[in-house]
Amino acid sequence: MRRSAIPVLLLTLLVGCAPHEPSAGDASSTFPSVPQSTPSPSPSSPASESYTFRLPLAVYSYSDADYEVIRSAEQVLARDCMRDFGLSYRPARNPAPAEAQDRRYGLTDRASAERYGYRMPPQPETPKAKLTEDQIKVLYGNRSTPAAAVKNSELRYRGKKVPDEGCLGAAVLGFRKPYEDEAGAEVASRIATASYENSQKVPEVRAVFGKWSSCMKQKGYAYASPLEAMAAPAFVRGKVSAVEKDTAEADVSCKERTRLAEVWFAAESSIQKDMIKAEAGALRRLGELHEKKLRAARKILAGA
Amino acid sequence: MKSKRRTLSLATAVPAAAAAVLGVAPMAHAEARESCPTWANDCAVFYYNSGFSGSRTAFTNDGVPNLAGYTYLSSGSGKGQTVKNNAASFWNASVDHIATVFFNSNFSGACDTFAPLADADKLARTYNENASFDFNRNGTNCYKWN
Repeated sequence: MRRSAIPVLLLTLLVGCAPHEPSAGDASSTFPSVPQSTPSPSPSSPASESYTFRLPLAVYSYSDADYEVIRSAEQVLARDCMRDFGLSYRPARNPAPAEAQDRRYGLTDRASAERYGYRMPPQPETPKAKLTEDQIKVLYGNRSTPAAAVKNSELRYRGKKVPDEGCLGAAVLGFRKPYEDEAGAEVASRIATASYENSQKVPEVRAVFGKWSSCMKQKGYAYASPLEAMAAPAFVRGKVSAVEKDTAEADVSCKERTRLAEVWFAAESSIQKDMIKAEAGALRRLGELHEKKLRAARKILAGA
Repeated sequence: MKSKRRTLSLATAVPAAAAAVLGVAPMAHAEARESCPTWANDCAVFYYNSGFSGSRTAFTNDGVPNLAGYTYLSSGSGKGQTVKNNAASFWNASVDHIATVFFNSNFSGACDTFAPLADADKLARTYNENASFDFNRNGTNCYKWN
């Protein structure tokens, strides 16, 4: 029954996914076999528009689906490690995301605005794998017990040394190491944040913020930018009010009317293209290592 | 391996409520501590300095939609300073779940998702804008570099 530790159908579907194919439907199509146990507001609505994964830099990033493939491979490695200790291990499945959201340019999802205001949709409950004390000890290693108790002492199970980070931690870290590219990740992250910041200074973006702000004013709301509305203290803490929902809806309407997200996206795309050119070597290396890691993950899954 | 340098030593928990004294009441059930408690699966650590050095604050249990009001807790350079928009390195110490750091409050703006046990020993300079973070958020359309 160990094979059933991995959701086979899910994996089969995931393994067939193109690794770097950003698309608007990415997240919703990622977990087709996972039952919807949480409220999923109109999954067929085109509300879940993706901007981040249509930007030029996205080809160098793992997707949600890629992360699931890697996670599944790590679980196989952890299971094999557990087996070496004479223990079984059935990992819990990741729940399907409640709703794909791209909040890079603020709220753009009308259904979400109507239902949750500016808040993130509630997270689906993550099922916890039911584990015995022995399993916990070997799976999580020194992380499973208060540090004081294990200080200066090796954690052992049936006379055999347990990896410090446990079977799971060792699987994650061990599988990452050959494909790790800190320098590349740093370059990519810097571009992604700098392009975001710099795009807000582009005249076209400033102009569309102004238009959006006027549109909001007509509806009775005073905000200089969509980010300001999103960060309003009343919309971050406490309960969602009718005012918040109305504001969020007006925000989405004004974004649609002014084409704010599209204008911002175009500006940021153009900035990213130049920045990518300047760092082509580092990014190419990062992308290649990602590909290699995914290939290795698929190999592990195929042999599991 | 650099993660070895980071410890999961048991430390006194500072309830999130303590941060409320500063005038901001974080709404989530997140707890801010000096270090990750070993029993928590989800833990995200912000460091004042690069290379996982200086003062740090570890968050457990839940994400935080606005890091304002949280300060660096452990001894070391930066202790007492605000965490929001002021982190130089980050470690997702969760072994089971991803953690996502957002440029803006309320889980918005540019964002990076960190795989379990992944880190950034030098956050991009602009990334000093860490304003919110969350655990285990799939489908957020955030970049994943590691």
